[in-house]
Amino acid sequence: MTTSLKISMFSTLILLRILVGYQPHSGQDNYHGKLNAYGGDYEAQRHWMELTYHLPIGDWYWYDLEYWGLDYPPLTAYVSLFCGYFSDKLIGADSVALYTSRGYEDPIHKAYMRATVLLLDTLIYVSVAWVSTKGSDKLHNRKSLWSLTFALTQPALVLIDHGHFQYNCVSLGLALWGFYYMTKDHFLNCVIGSVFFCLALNFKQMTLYYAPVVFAYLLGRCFSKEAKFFLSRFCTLGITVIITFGILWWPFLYYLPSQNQDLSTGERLTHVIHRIFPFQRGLFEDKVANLWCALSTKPISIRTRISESMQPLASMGLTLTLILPACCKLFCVGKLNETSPKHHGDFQLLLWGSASTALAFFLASFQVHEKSILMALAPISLLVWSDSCFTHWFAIVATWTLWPLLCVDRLEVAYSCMMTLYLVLVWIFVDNYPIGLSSCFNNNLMTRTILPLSGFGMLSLHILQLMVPPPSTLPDLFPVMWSIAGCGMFCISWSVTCWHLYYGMGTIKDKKI
Amino acid sequence: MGMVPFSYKSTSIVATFIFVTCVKILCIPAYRSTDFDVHRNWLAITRNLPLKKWYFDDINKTTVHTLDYPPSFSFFEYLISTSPLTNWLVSSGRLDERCLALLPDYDNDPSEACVVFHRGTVILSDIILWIGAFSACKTYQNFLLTVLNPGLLWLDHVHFQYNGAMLGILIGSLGQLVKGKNATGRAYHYHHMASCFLYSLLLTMKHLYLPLAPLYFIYILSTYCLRNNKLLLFNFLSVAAITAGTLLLPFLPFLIQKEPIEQMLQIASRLFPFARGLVHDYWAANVWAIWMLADKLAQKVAGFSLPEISPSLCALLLITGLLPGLYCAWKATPRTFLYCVVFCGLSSFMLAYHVHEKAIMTAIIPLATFCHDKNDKRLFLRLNTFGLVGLFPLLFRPIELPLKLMSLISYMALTYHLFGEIKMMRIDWLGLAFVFVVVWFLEIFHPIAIFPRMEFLPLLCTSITCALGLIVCWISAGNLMVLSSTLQR
Repeated sequence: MTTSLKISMFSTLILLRILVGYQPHSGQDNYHGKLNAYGGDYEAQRHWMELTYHLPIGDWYWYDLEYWGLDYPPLTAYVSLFCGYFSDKLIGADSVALYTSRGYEDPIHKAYMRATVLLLDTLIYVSVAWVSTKGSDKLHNRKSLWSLTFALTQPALVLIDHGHFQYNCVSLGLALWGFYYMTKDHFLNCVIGSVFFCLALNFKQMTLYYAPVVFAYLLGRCFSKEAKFFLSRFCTLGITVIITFGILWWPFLYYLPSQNQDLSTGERLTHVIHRIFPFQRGLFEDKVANLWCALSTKPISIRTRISESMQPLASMGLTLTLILPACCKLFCVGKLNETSPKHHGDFQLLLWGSASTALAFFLASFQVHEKSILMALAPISLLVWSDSCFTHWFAIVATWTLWPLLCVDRLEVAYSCMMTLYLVLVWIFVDNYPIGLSSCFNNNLMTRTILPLSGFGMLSLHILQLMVPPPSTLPDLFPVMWSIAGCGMFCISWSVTCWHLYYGMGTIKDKKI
Repeated sequence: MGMVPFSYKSTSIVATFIFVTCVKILCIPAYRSTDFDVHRNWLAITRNLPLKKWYFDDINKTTVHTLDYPPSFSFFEYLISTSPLTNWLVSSGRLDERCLALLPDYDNDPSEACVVFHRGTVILSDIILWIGAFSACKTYQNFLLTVLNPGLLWLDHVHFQYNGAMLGILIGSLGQLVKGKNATGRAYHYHHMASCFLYSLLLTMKHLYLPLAPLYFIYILSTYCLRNNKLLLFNFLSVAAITAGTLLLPFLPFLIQKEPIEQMLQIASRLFPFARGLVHDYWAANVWAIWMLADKLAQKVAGFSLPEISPSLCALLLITGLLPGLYCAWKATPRTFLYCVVFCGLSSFMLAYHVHEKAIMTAIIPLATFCHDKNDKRLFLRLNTFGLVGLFPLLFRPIELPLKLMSLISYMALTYHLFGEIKMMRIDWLGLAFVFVVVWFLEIFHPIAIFPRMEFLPLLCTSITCALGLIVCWISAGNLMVLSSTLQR
C-alpha cells in the first residue's frame, strides 16, 4: 500500500464529508417553521458561539434559556467560544453579534461552520480511527486500510455531523482515544485514557452510556496487580477524574450569573446539572427505536400501564439489567490484564462492551434521542475484522433508523447517496474478501435469516412510504413502524454484542482467508 | 503496475460508476455558473420556439444566453426538453413549467426541482463518457484516469456543462481509429467509418474540436485512403460520404427553412463570435495571456503597445502551431496519432482565439486514455497539475475551495499510485512549489489580506504560472510526438 494510495483514500473520505456539507443543515431557512426558536441544531450551535463569545462565563448557562439555552457540558461551551472567536474574526461580527445574529444564514458562514466540524472531525476522530486500525505489520496493511475506510465512511456519522450538523465526532473521538489508551499495558495509559474519557464526558453527556463499562474495566485494572496496589491505583484514577472535572467546571462554581447575584454554589451547580440532564421531560419525546417507544404502541401501551413515578425506576432497572453482562465481562478482562500474560484484544473487547452498554442505554433509558445510536455505532465501526457481517449490517440499520430525522432535515438525497456509497464499498470488500460476508456470531442465522429479512424489511418500508400515504387515522404510521423495526434490530444487536463479549474471542483474521 | 485487460474487474467498473455518480449527485447544491442559465435557456428555446427562430431569438433582447453551439447540440437540448420523461415530470407537477419557459436574464432563478432536473441530465450524459472510455482504453488504469478526472467534475457537475459527453464522443472516435488499425475485413472499414462519423457528430455538437479536423483528415487520408501512394477509391469515398453526410444532416432542417442563407449566416455569426476578444475574462493559461501581460508591462514601463492580434493573424498562428502535428500524422501509427491529438489539442489551447480554460480538457482526456510509458506518465502528471490548477478560478467561491483541493489531491495521489513509482525531477519540485504558492495566494492570502484591492492580480498569477507550465507540457508533448514518429520510421 503506497503512501499515495493512502493519501488518495484520505482525501476522498474528506471530500465525502465536504460534499455532504453542501446539503441543507438542520433548520436551514427555518424550514420547520418554528417561531420561538429559529432553525435547529445548527442555529443552536451558532447561538452558543454567540453567547459564549459575548457573555461573561457566569451567564453562560443562564442566558435566555427559551432560545436554544446551553444544555451540553462545559467543554462544548469552551469549544463554542473558540469557534465563535474565529467566526467573529474571519466571517465578521454579524455572524455572532449578540441577539442580532439570531437566524443568521449566510453561505460563507455555513462553510465556516461546516469547516469547524470537519477540522475537529479530522483532528480527533479520523486520527483515532487511523491509530486504532493501523496494522501491526506490513502483511495486514491492506486490511487496515479497509478497516479505516469503513470506520470513516459510516453514513450515520457523516450524515449527522456533516449534514444535520453536530459535533458528535469530538465526543466519540475523545471517548475512543480514551479506550485506545486505557487498554494498553502500562497503568499510566489507563490514567491518560481516563483523562480523555473525562474530556469526552464533558463534551457530551451522552458519553455516560459508556461510563459503566469503562468504570468496570478500570476497576478491574486496579485489581489486576497485587492487592496492595489496588488502593493507590484507584485513588490515582479518582484524583485524575476529579482534577479533570475540576479544571473544566470551576468557572461555573466560582462565577455568578449577572442576573442572579445571590445564588449559592450548590444552587448554581444544580441548575447547570438540570440543564444538562433534563429529567423533568419524561420517558421519551419523539418516536425513537427504543423499547419504551416500541412498547407504547397499542395494544401494549406500556406508557399508560406504568405510573409516572414508576417510569424512571422501571427505566433504570431495565437499563441496569442490560448493562450487567458487559460490565461483568470487562471487569474480568481488566482484572486479567496484568495477571495473565497471554491476554490480548482488550481494546476489541472494550469496543464490544461499550457498544453493548450504549445499546442497553439506547433501548431502555430515559429521554433517548435518535442520534444516540451513534454512541453504539462508533465502537462497532472499528470492529470490521472482528465480525464484518454484523458490523456492516449494524451500520446500515443505524442509518436506516435515522431516516425520519433526515427526512425532516431534507437530507433524503444525502442519505441515499451515502447508503449507496457504503453498500458499494461493502460490495467491493466482499468481492475481494469472500469471508467478508460471514459472521462469527451464528453464521447461518446472521447471513441467511437476519440479513436478508431485515434488508427486505428496510427496503420494503422505504418503498411503502414512497408509494402509500399513511391513513388519516394513523398519521404517524411510518415513524412508528420505523421505531418498532429499529427496536427489534437493536435488540438483536445487543444480543450479538453480548455474545461477542463472552464467546467471540476469535477474529476473522485468525481464520483462513 | 501491471496492465490488466478489461474483462477483469467488471464489478469494480460498475461499483466505481455508482460511487462516482453518488459523488456527482452530492454536488447538486454546489455553485452553478451562468452556463446553467445558458443551457436552461436553450432547453426553453428548443421547447417553446419553432426551429427557424432557434438561432435568432433573444427574448426581445432580454437575454445574452443565446444559442451558440452547432445544430446537433440544439437537437440534443431539444431531445431533453421535449422527451416523454420531461413532459411527464412537468405534467405530474414534479418539475415546474417555469423551468422550461423563456425567461429574461433578470428573472431566471431556477427552482430546486429545476436544478435537480438539469444537473440530472449532465449526470446521465456522463454515461457517454464511460462508454467512450470503455471502448478507447486498453487498461483499467487508463480507464480510471479518464473517468475520474476532477476537471470534469468541476466543469460538468459544479460549473455546469456537458464536456463529459463531448469528450466521450471524442475518445470514442479515437478508440475506433486505434482499433481499426489492426482490424481486418469488414471490421477494418467499420471502425474507420465509425470514427469519422463520431468525430463529425462531435463537430456538429461543439465546434471547439474543429482544430483537430486537419489532423483527422491527414491521418485517415494517409493511413486508410492511400496504399503505396495510390488512392483507395472505396475507402476515400466512404469516409468522405459519411463525414459530409454527418456534417450536413444537422443543418438540413435549417436549410429547408424559408431563408436558408440567412439561417446559415446567423448560425455562423453565433458560432464564431469574433467580437469577444483575444482572451477570455479570466485569461486562459495560454500564449495570449503572456502576450497580454507583456503588452501591459510594455505600456506601463516603456509606454508602447505590442501589435494587435487580429482574428486572422490568430488563425494563421494556430495553423502554424498545428503544422508539426499534421506532419507527424502523415502515415502515423495509432500511437503517434494519439500523441498528435494531444499536441494539437495543446496547440489549439495555446494559440486559438478567445480560448476558455475548459479547453485544456481536450488535451488531458485523450492523454489519459493511452498514457503508458514513463514519459507519457510524467507529461500526464504535469499536464494535470497545471491544467487543473488553471481551472481553479472558475469555481471562485471559498465554499468550493475544499472541494477543489480534496478532489485534486485525491486524483493526483491515485494517479501517482497507479503509475507505480515515478521519480520526480528537480524541475517538477520547482513547478509544484510554484503551483503551491500560486494556489495559496489565489485562494487564501489574497481573499483574506488584499481583497478588494488588485482584484485581478491572483487571476493573473494563476494564468501566467499555468501558462508557463503548460508551455513546457506543450513542448514536451511535441517532443514525444516527434520521438514516436521517428521511431516508427
